[in-house]
Amino acid sequence: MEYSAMRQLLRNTKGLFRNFRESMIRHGRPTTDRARTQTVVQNFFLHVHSARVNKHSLKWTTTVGMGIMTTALFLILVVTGILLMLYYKPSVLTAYDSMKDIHFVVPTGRIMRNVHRWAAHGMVALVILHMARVFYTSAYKPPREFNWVMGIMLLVITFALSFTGYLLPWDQLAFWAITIGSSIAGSPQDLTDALGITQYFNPGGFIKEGLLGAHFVGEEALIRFYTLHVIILPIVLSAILGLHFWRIRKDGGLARPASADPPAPDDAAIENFDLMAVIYERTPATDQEVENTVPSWPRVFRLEIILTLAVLFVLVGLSLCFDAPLAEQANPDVPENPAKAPWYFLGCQELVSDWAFGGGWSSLGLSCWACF
Amino acid sequence: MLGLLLIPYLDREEEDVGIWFSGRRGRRVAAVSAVFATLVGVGLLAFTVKYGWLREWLPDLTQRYSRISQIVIMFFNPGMMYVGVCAGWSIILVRLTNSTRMGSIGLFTCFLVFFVILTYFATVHRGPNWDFFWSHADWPVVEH
Repeated sequence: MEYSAMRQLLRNTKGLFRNFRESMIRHGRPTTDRARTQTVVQNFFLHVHSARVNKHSLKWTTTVGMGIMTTALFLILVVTGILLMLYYKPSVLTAYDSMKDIHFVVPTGRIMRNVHRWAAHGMVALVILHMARVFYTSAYKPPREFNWVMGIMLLVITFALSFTGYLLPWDQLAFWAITIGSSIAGSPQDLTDALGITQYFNPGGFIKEGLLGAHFVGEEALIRFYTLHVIILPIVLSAILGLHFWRIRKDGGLARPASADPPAPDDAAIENFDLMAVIYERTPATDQEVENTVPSWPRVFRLEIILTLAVLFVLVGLSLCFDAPLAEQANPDVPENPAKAPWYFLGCQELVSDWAFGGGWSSLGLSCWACF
Repeated sequence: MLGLLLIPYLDREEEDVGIWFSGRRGRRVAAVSAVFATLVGVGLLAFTVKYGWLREWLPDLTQRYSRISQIVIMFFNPGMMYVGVCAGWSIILVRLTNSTRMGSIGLFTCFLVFFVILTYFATVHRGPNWDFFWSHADWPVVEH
């Protein structure tokens, strides 16, 4: 009896790794379509994908992988951001010194900061390109209208994340860029000044003070920007990002031309049923024939890993070659000349600086006209 | 941003979903619009750099009738001119192609090209006092 228990213990010890893995993953190596589907459905992290994807979605030209690369950049930003938070001190007196410590003293701090900086710029650029891709492929058309709306919200939050992070180094570059940026945000006051109604109605001043917590960039602004940058905006972005992904699934996957879904035989509606085998018909969520689809595992995940590694490779390369800028400590008495906003707001600065508030209206008007 | 948000609710044509530029005609519209926007954008920037705008042309006006002139200066500016030209361009495209989708492709392309041109211009060609410089090397050097 004792001998048998010992053998059992030995057997359990030998199978420790396998048992642990099975308790966690619940299925073996996926070798059939059914197992591949289970891999996706039973995994918390993979379940955000649909179990099967249309073959057309896997073509490089469908999306150029920009959504995946943007998500990869966000994940990289989260990881490097958390590491930077361990050393960064959000105070006017200590912020700049802690940035220098990160850059020159903390082991791997320099490359973490560089990767974080270039990833932030890359994410802003890729979000804009991703939006352009969705527009040019008509991927905002029904039933994907609301996902477009969420995409625009993500674009705005990405701008806000990058903008709030811009101030944190508390160097001259950051200080004056945010001063300019907040002035652009407060530019409606030019109009209310011209109309002589500022004392009654001042949306520009309200926006600027709401952003900075004061009339100028200082301690209050730094704390607000830090809180927005590390807590509020990442949480909001993660929530909307999750919803964005979920809607991609529920709206039938990526937008594709009608030719990617060749007409099914007449009896296909009877044969084709929902994944959970509850709805005995073609599902409104996917509206695609299984003949045109392949399991997400492993194709989609392989693509995601390849693109993520490619993004990481480029970022590390960039970070080794180019340091993120760190100018002298912020000095409100010595303005930068020229003081320039972050690059993605430079177009607005050009409009506002030369052409006053009307420049802002022009952008808005142009956007509205784009609707037609 | 509001304009961008409303795009799917105003452009309801459901043809050519998932096709880049909605096909060959859309590609041609996008290419022509990109060239058009480049010419207009660069042209307006060059004009304002060389000749200025209302504030420089009518300094007396800004002093005599300050409130009215400020409002005029705010709304009658190169940005507004650009919007007007692009809006006209979009209407022409809609009339020529009989498609709101083609009109929106034209205008969205103009928007992107204008964004790129302005960003590039402000990054490379704007120096101290927001003056125009061909390159960073031309910036005035202040010796202490």
